[in-house]
Amino acid sequence: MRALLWIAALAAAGGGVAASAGSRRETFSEDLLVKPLPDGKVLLHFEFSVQRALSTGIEGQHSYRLFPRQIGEIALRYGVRELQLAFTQGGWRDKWGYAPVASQGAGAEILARIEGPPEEAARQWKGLANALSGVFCASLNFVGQENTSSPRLTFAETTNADSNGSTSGSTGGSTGSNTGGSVLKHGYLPRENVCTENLTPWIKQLPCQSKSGIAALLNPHRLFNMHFHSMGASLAAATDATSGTPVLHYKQHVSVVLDPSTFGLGSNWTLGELMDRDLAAACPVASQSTVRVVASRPDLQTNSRPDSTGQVAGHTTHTFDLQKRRLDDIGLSFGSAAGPPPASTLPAISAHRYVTGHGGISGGIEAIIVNRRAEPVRIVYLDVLPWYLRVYSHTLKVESTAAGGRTAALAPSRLLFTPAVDRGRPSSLEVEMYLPPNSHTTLRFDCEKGFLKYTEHPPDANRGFNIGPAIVSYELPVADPAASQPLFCAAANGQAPGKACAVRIYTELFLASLPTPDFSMPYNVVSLTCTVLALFFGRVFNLLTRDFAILKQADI
Amino acid sequence: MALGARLRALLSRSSEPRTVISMHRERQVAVLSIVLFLLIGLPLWWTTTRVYRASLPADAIRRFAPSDTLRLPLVFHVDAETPLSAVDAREVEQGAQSLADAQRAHYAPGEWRVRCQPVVRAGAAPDAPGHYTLRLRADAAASGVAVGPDRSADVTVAHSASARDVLAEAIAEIVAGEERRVRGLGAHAALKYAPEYAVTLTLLNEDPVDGAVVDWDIESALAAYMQPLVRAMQPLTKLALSSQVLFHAGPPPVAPLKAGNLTYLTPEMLSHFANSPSWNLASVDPISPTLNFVLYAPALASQPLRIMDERQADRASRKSTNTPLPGADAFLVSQWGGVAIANLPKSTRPGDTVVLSQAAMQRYMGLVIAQLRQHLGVRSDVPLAPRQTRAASQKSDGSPSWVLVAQATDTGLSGWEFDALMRQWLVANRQTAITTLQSLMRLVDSLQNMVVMDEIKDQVDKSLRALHAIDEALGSTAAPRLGYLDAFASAASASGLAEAAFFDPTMVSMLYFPDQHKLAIYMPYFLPVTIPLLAAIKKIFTERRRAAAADADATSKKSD
Repeated sequence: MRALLWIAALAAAGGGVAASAGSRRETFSEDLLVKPLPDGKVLLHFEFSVQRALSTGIEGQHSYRLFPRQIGEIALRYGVRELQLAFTQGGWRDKWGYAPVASQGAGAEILARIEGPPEEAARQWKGLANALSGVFCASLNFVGQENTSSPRLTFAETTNADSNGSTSGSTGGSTGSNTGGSVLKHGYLPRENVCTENLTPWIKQLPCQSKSGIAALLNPHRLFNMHFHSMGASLAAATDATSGTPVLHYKQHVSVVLDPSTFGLGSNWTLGELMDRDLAAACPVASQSTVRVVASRPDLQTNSRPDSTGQVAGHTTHTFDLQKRRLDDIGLSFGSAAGPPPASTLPAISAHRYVTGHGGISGGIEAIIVNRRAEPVRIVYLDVLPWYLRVYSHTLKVESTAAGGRTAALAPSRLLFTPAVDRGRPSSLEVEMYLPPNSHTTLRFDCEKGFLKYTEHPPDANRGFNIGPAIVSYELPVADPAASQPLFCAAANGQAPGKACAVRIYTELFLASLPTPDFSMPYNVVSLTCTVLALFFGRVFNLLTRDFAILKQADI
Repeated sequence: MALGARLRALLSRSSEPRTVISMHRERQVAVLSIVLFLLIGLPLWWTTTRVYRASLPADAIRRFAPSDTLRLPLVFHVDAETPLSAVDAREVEQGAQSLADAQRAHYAPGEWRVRCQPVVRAGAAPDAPGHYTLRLRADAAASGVAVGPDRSADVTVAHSASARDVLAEAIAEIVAGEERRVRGLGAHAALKYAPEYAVTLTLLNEDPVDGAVVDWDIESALAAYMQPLVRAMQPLTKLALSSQVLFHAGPPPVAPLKAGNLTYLTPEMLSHFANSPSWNLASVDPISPTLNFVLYAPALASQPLRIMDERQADRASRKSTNTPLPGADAFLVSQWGGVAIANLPKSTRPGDTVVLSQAAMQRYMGLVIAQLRQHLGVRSDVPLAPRQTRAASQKSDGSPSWVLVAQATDTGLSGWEFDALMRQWLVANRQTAITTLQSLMRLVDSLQNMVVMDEIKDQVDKSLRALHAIDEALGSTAAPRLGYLDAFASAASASGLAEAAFFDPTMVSMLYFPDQHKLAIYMPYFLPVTIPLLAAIKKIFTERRRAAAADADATSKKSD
């Protein structure tokens, strides 16, 4: 065996992986971002990304090294050009600033661009949802025709020149959904509960699983004892920044907002204490393995010297490189002396949605969108509602209250409405409009509640139906890298500064209570009908077959 | 209230003094009409609420018996210096047939029919399954057969033996070899036929942090060693190859044993060694059977790792370290795949990156091909089983005393092996199709509530047509057509269609209404309806009888 082996040149001194035929084709990087939030909580954002060259040797034969084979097979089998999958629990609060991930709506969201003609794509979409539900142990198989929409304005294509492949760099947002022979499909499952059983298969896709590298910190007991949790994966075709060849980019993320005081930690704690796991050595096959601590509070101190310090999204960031040295733990301490209050980090746009009206027949939906910028912002409001909420599009009213308190009607610049088909597809409302500077905009429309067949109700029918969130998307011009901005925008801007960054905001879910029938009804109906018919029959039969004779008094 | 008025009229009429006879007739008409209504209504209700059941061609299915023999004609083209005469050819045929029949110990599903094509110019035999060229060579000390990698064999005839007998023996041996293979089919680890197999090669790193990171140049190895086999198998089945590298395969569920500086696994430990739950080998392919071939790179501490029993380990640990290690480094897992162990050079240090080159993987790929052949059911003891021992003991004058079988080293599958595998799958698929169709018939007959859609009937019809097409493609014994590839395709589609019909989701979604439920639902209606009706019928009969008795009484009184 010895003679048959060939050892590559070793370059272990710097901790880097020796360049070999295989690892050059696929690269893996892992990163953890720790950001203390203004209210004492802390955001941990884990990001793992694998990049893989698209070209393969022999037709139909695929070799995987760092890239998860299951995902590669799914992408090939179902003609997926782009895929975004997110499992979220809890709500992202405005006071925490911009969300670290594009998708923040509670439940499961799946977005895919599938190649092929529409009928073919619809079949592939169903297969894709089934395959992903198997891979992630989630009930994604409930994504069907009746909860799939194809929004045309909201989700801009993410294929861009930068290798980070994040949701940045959209081009005007007016790209149709069927560009280049591919169909955009968007499904939302608001009832989905995210749990350890989804995290385990997610971890299995990492090249080093949770046995080495940053992923060793992923402790489900801590990850699910949280205020906000978002776990997801995205697949996108991109172009390699250095070589210019087409690559497939698979990115997995977990973002959690934890409260250290829940675990009995005060103002001094380490990452190991927070996650109840030890920070292991860097993943041996990773090309980059870093922990970044964002000094979002001026009184933040780290217990060891960072390897480098830079600026990310308007904050000083200390970077610890796990490949340069073996770090046992990273400690953070916060001074008790209150420094100058941090500048407002509220995001530029925030949105909330409410359900109005009462009773089981009619109701309405009202969304409030706040623009905090001193300039008009173009937004797209997307509301996908199931068919049993029958939307009256003519009742749509948009009103805007400017800073001075003056309320005026606001005319949408573009309105796309796809009516629902009963048991066929949801209704989808897309409104493009320009929000006035520093304004509150209210968007409301009426709807009527449909009557469902009794088998279509969920087991806990009286609880009501979870309705997925509305999505507000806009572009954030980020000319100034020091300005407050979402994390993924900052990452994208490293490569291409000055570009606009597409941001999505998810509103809350709501519960729609529909008229609920009595579920023992069919048997009651059968019994009642039979009894009435039998009574009727008996009367008529008696009349027909009996003699009625008048008896004389004397006969008795 | 038209009905009320009529009833009142009836009542008022009935109150009038009338004859008893007409009164009875009116009542009887009412009861009779209700009975009539029920007699017409109940069958109508029965037929309209029945589930749809397409009629399956039961007779056509029953005509096939799974024990049916399929005549598989083989044509041997004899290429001799002095052309074989027609009489000789028939004698060779008869001799081979009777020899093959004599060797047939048990019943076998296939029935072989041999034909000898007497005269053939060199190279004129078609290169197609079922056609074999036997080149006769004279002038040798002993008779023998040298089987080539394509569909040919060199038959050497000794001076003392007659060419006819040697040929008959050689042909009989080929046929009997096939018989043995088909009979022994169930006993082996071979997978069932599938139109596509997902073959996954996985490199497992046990410990990349404290050990070496092992990578491989699998693309060029697959292209060089596996691609010829994939191409050779193309007419029969598709081998979809993929490969992956997994890190942190973790400690195996059984810790290897240590003897001196030797680490080893005993054969008994192997069944626990393959640890598929923690090895992330799951595939998303919903249909094709998956075969996993794992190359396991153990942690540096347990290298070199070998498979041997305690005795071997004991002996090896006492020897000097320079001798090659005893034991094996690969094992086969039935119905799952195979595992091989990659031992790295002694100079490997923790933190190194080792890349297995194409040349380094030649041995491993050879193991994979050998294991894959076993899983698919390719056996190297065909077409001619070595029978030197038998030839020596039996002093048969005609039997060849030596047999050489050439391996198809360039593709991994010789023409003989290809044909044998094809015939084996052809027979098995045909059998599967027949048994599945018959089980389907039995199932449909036994469950009267089951819906049978037209699509099921369609699939069954197509499957039957494909079954007939097999016989057509092979031709009769008298006029063999040898359309083996067509017959194979028909058999594959017949079994595929039959299984698709059997496992169709519409067959599963049987509406289950137990009789108790039906009774509970219809009882509130039918009970109040039936009881007065029966009572009225009984009353009519008793009144009639009484009237008849009264009549008899009256007549007897009159006669008195």
